[in-house]
Amino acid sequence: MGPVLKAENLGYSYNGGFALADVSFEISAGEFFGIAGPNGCGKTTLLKLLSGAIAPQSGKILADGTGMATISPRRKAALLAFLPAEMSVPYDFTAREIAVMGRSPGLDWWENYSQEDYDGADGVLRLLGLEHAADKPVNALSSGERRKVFIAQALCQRPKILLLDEPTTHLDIRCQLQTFELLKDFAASRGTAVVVVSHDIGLVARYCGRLLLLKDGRPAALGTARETLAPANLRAVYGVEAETRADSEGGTHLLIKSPCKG
Amino acid sequence: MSKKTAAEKIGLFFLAALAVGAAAVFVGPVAHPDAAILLKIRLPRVLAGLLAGASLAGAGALMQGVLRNPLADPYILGTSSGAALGAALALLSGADYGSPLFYVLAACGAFAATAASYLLARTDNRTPAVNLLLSGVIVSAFCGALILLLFALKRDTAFSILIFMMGSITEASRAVLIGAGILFALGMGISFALSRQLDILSLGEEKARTLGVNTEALKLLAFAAGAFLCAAAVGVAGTVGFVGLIVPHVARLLLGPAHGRLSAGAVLLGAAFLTLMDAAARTIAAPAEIPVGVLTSVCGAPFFLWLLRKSKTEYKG
Repeated sequence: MGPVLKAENLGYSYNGGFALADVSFEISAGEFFGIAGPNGCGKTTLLKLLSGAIAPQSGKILADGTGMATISPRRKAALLAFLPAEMSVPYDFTAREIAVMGRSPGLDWWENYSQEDYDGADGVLRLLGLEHAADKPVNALSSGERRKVFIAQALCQRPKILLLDEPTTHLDIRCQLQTFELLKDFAASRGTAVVVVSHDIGLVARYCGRLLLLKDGRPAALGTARETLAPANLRAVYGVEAETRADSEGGTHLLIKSPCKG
Repeated sequence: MSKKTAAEKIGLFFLAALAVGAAAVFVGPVAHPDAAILLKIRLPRVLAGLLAGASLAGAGALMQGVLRNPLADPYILGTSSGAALGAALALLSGADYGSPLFYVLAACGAFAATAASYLLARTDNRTPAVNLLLSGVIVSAFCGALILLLFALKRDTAFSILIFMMGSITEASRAVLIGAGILFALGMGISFALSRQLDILSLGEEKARTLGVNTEALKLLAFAAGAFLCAAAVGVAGTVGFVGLIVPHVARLLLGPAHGRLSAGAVLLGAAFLTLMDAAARTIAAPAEIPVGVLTSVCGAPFFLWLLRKSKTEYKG
């Protein structure tokens, strides 16, 4: 089976200013893939391109073997879920009402959610430890819980490809670990390709099978966490002295020491 | 909130609307306590009030959802003025009050005005609240000016159009009520069918698209439904302000923001509210009548200001 998501020589620039260029990679089903890099390196732009929210100016994206540009919106929604970095809700929808929206792509436009859809949403909320919040307005929840509600919505979509932009912002350390563990399990058990953009390279190093390091809109390294987070790469991309260590279970831990001199 | 309690609340609204409607038939001094007065004057008037209130509140709930903006309302967006302009054009071209041409032009005017406000307010694929309020004011003023211009050219009807613009429930012939009823049913039918997608649109257009919503088609359909509803309201009552703003808010407080329940609640509450207002409008200064639009604006403008202050701190445009 081929890759479920494939990027070929992607290029995108904002009015001639910042540019993303020459980005290529393949992601297979069940893989937990991380995209990392310093501020302004193009992580979020790349994720938006992968979600189909914006179209690349050069190169192309194949999702499940089909060109992104030719997929109908509804099929795209059934194939691919995207969690943007910031979500605001102008009205007091409850957590359950937000989560169940993930079931929407499977419905015709006049149809409403079935009891099964609501049960599914409740199940996902439980999985994320949010059962107490199901009937509360999302705007009354803590920002971390609200973040999780939107992760729940994306999981409810049961996508083949799950794209998350900074899924763990606003989450405390325990929730960060739980969320990454959940996403890793989700990838492994459902065969979903999970792509995470994150500032937190420590988390990415621990949980993502492979990752892409970006610097100034260009790929700096692509491979396993051990390979990409080699000291030379971290110095070049982030300007920090750091090294990786393997734990007894084969996980990769990042040890950050100091900013590079000079 | 469980579904049962929501259904119970909607049921209560419905009973309240019926009760208010029934009571309103008898409100006010009855010069000749004749069945004829009740059935031929008061009853059509109450029906007109119920229909106009329901339509405006339904349109308000729809607009607030599709524009993700709790300040949206058919009066503020210029939709009502557009409908009034269309209706005025129809009257001037010789169409009868309540005729199909009258309603068709009113709906077209309403749609054009909404689209104009929306497009004027749109920048960088976003529709900021402040832009929308400004463009609504401009479109409203422009339509209002055109109506005045039309009637300056035809002075004999000037007074009736002034009442029309203030919003007043007076005449309601059978044709007027039937036309408005059809438009109301059409508008609400579309609105209910769109409710799930409107809920999703609350999360923003980009997110809605990733959930498979065709946002452009959705907005177009919602504007059309809003235009039908406003044409119905303007047909029976002229441009009555703020019902579409206040009522959906109250309904949202009681029933939550999900559009299916919200629209049902808003329609029933709006019907009850405007009928009550109209009963007040014709009794406060009896035998003189206050146009009902004056009363709703007196209540609605302070409410709007309160909401504007609140939304400045909460929603950041």
